[in-house]
Amino acid sequence: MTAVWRKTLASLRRRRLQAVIIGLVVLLAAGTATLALTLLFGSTNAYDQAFAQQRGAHVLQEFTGGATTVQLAHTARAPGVTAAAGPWRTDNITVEPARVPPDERQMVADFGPPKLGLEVVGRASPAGPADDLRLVAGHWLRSGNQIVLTRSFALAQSLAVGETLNAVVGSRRVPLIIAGEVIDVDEMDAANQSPQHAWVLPATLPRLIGPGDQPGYEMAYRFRHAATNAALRADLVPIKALLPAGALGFTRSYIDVRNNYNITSALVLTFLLAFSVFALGAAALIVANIVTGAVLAGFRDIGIMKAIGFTPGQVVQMLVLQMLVPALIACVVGIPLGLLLSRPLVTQSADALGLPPPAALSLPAVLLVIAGVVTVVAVSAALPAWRAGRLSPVRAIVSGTAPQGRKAVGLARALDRLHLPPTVRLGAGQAFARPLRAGFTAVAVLVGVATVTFAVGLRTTLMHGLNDPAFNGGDYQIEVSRLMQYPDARLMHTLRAQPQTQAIVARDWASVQVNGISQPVQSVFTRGDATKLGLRALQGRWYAAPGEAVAPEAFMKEAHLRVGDYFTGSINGRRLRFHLVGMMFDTAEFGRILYMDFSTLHRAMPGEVPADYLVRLRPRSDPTAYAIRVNRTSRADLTVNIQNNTASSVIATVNDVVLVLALVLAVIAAAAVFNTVLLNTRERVRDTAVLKAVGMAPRQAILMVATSAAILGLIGGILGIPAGVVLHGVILQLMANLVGNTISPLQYQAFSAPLLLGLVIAGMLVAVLGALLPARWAAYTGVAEVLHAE
Amino acid sequence: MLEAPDTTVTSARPVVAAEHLTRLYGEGQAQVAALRDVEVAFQPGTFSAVMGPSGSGKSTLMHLLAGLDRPTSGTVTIDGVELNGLNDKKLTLLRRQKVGFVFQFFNLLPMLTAEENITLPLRIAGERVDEASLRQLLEAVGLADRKEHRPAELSGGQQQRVAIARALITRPAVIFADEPTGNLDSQSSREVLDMLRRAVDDLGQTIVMVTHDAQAAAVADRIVFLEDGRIVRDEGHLTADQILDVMKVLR
Amino acid sequence: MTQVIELTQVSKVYNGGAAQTALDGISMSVASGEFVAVMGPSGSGKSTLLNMVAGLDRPTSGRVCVGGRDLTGLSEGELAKFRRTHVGIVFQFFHLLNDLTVLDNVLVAAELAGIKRSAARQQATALLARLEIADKADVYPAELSGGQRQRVAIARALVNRPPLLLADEPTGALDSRSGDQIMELIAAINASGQTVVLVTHDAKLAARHAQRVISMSDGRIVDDAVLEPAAGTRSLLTFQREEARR
Repeated sequence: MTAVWRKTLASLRRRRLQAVIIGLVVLLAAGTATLALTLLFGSTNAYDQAFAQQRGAHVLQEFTGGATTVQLAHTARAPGVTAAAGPWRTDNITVEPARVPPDERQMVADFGPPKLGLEVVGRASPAGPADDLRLVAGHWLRSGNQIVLTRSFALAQSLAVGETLNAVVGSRRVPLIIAGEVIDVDEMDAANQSPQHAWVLPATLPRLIGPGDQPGYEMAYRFRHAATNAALRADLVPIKALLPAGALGFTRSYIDVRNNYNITSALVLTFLLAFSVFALGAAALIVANIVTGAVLAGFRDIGIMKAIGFTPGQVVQMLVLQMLVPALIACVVGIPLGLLLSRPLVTQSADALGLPPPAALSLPAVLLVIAGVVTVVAVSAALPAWRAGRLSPVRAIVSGTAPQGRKAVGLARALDRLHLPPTVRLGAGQAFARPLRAGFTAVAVLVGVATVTFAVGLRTTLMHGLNDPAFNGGDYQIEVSRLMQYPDARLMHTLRAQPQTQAIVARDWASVQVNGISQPVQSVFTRGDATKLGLRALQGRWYAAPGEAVAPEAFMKEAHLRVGDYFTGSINGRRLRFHLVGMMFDTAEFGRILYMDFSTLHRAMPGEVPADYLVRLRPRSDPTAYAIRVNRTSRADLTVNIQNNTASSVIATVNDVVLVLALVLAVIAAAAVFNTVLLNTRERVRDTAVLKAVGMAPRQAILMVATSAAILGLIGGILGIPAGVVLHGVILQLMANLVGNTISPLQYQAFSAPLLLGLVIAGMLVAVLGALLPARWAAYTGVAEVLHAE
Repeated sequence: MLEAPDTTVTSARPVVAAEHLTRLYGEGQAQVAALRDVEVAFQPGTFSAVMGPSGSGKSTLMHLLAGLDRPTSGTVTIDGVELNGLNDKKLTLLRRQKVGFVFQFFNLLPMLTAEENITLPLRIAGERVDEASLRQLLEAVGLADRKEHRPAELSGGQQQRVAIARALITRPAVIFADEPTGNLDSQSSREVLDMLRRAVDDLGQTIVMVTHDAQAAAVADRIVFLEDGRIVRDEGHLTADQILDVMKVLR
Repeated sequence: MTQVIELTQVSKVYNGGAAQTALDGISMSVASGEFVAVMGPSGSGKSTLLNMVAGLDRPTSGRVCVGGRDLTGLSEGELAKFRRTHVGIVFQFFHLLNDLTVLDNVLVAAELAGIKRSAARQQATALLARLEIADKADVYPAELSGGQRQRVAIARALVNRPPLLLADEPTGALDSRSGDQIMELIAAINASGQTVVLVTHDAKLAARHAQRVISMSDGRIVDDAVLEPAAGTRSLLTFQREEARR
């Protein structure tokens, strides 16, 4: 065994370039795979962990005032229920923070204090049979003038323990001191769920109920069978049976909450896993390529080794070790790198749940990556190495290189037909002289080009998405919220009176009970022409008459509806017939939402008036000046917000990750071309010497080598670009599906003809650039050195 | 009939000449002087052999005379043009026009047919191939029926004949042959040497052949003997036995 | 006396574009302690014969026995193991592993033969010293002259104490002086009992050192002569060499 090691280490010391290429490629592949696997094992685990610890409720069920507390308490004994907490009294209130941070003084002077919505729950203890609240700051409620908030709400609004919130009750303000912050595993973060829960002692709650409020109840349930939303729906049936009709309000399922926590990771994971597979595959190709080349270059050495007594098995060992040593060293660097890069994403998830960050090392992930790398490298190396071991030593030493295959000759004959200059023909012949190697290289280039194409396309598409009102929620600059007592007509008059107003769309929400779906569907009702804000249907058309509706794909799937179908349901108990006229894009409620005209809501609730007003301003209007003017008309009863269309952090993360991965694979592809050209050039060194002796000028030699690289680059590019375009379409659809939507009716022209042509040319250029170094080497090595026998 | 080679023949101007030619390899302790202050000239239309034991510097001398390598000091002149002042590109052009090669091994490009190997120098230079001359040449080397074969399908002797044809096709001023029979059996060796002799006698080529084989050298008009980097003897035509005697004394 | 080499009707035919008969029914044997030179022009088959004996190539027909071991039908792995312990080979072009230092080149051969590390190091260093190249132990082959490389090759061939030393044109790539030195070394090694079979095209070399000369032509043995050790000739040549050195 020592003899094998001695030769292996000596070879590694001399063939540094080859070791560097392998090391680089494996490092990138191992890093990417570690990142993906750590994310897979780490982040999706965090939520489940917290849920188990806090005895999370499978369902947080809201009830209207129709049921009594006795009846509700009784539901705890319904079949299938393993634990229940509550009933707790609840009410939706508005609060104003008492403290004004110095940099907001001007804003408060102009607009009045911010009005925040909360759903307060009267609860005596944070612990219980279900839905424990984990305290992360301050303490639990001790007196009646205290309130406990969710941590994400406190963070979002920059509130701290000890500050005061003034609850708006009619025309009075009831001060509540923030006693503590908790994490509720049955609650999404503040950005995705509004209003957030807040807790007061049960005795405090009645003091916060204002005129016009509709207080209700809430209970937390844990069930025996809770794996899917369908199971949960079934679990609710016996509970519903125990209560009067219409008692059930909104149901929050833990599955939706969990998906929400995991969404960023889920989106990113989609790419990471796919790309890791590509990267490892490309690494395998490169290793196989390198080993084949090393074998060919080392033919003489292998012959000598066998002559002095190395068995074929030992030859294989040596070649495999030559590849494994740099690969394992690369893992030592690449794996920690992957772990490091995974930290932000993994801790983000844990942090949001108040969990301590998971261990920096995910042992299963690391072991899996090491095992994967070793297997891939060893197998890719062993196969060509085994062939080498079986050759006759005499042939090996004398010929110094393996004979060309017959197939290569046939290809060369095909090339003869084209009347190209001889240097180009020779270069082309060189590219295919070893078809297997050419194949490996072309595939590696294909992968690189495909991922770059995909990344470029994704970036374009996401940018379009951010700017297209059909995808970003609508093009409006001002949002006004109206308190109940301020008249709708007066506000509309004020807004219309402003010269900068281009369009006003008022908005309200209500729950719609759809036949065939047990869980009510949150719906948005718009008054005014929503299409003036840029909203539009991707399929079919926008609604224009009462009863017409548009919805994202998730709703359509759940209700088994297609565009054009009619369906029935009820709003506020009133039965109605609806017509699905179009499909839209909206990620709210994971796409489980309906959009309809306000006239539809009026049929069920005639007195209903919208509370939200979205204003689109004329071009080059100043939103701030507008907001001040509107707010001055009534400070206390209006909240005026300026819309900031900032890119969501999810999109930014996705964009960055994809770009990095594309670069990684592009580097791998370039390494593949460089390596192949290097091997070809080294192998052909005698032929090149003969050519130079016969009169080939250095420039012609460079052209010859560059041609062989350009051809491989061209093939990889031509095949890789359609692959990338297809990948783009597939992944985008996958992403959209994750948030309950589809984009297939919309063909985003992310790829214009000039762009594609540019990508092909770029691919060829990168290939040629990678070949220049070996080309110069071929052109300028002295002829005599080569032809001089040893 | 193939035309005479392209040399401007003035009565005594040599085709190839070397003056004070020295070539050193390596550095310090391991430095080796492959050639030491060699001076030699070859006349047009002659067949010369350069002989010597291994390490005598004969291959090095050939590489330098052919412009395949640059000397440490001294000059080489081919057909009146001094090689020292030429850059890589000009040197290549000169070789293209004036020099032909036959090596001991690896003469031919394995993926090209015999015919393509022969016409390679012309095609590299971008010149047209004269079909009639090509056919005559193929017949002269006796390979007309094998011109579509690839080197792997030819015997060692046949490969060398292809190499000779390639060297002849550009009608160079001088052909250098480095151990052309070194790898061949006796029969093939004779064929190759015959061919080379006829190239000189019938076509007026100038050939400088490096060899350690006495039988081969006996075909030449002049034999230059090298030992340890210097010319030690310069004889006219010798028989094989005479050559062996000289070699015996040298060692 | 046991035969170190025994060939029976050994033939080798190459199939290429043109079939070539390299060996044509060769039968011969070599006894222990002999110094045999195999001679012939290029293409006579002498190198092919050597390859057969070394187990580097297989005959198309016939039987090869070396050191009492029948090589017929052995696998590549078994042949490799045979080479480790039964033969030491010195090539015309040295064939050292360029990645390894001089000492490592010799150590590798020792390790393959199963010699334990400390003993291997000792034997290797001793051999290098005997061949007067110990000071180059940590140098790479590329930095050595031809003669020096060949000495390393001889050390490598002998470190595993094989019963048979094979040399294929060992001086073919060397200048006259180095060549002489190498031949003297080989002769001295033979004098201490090592069986040596040497292939050469140089008749003078064969005559000076070998006891027995086998001549080959076109794949057949045409002559097999034992040379009388002429004490006179030997001393004359010694005198000549000394003159040349001055």
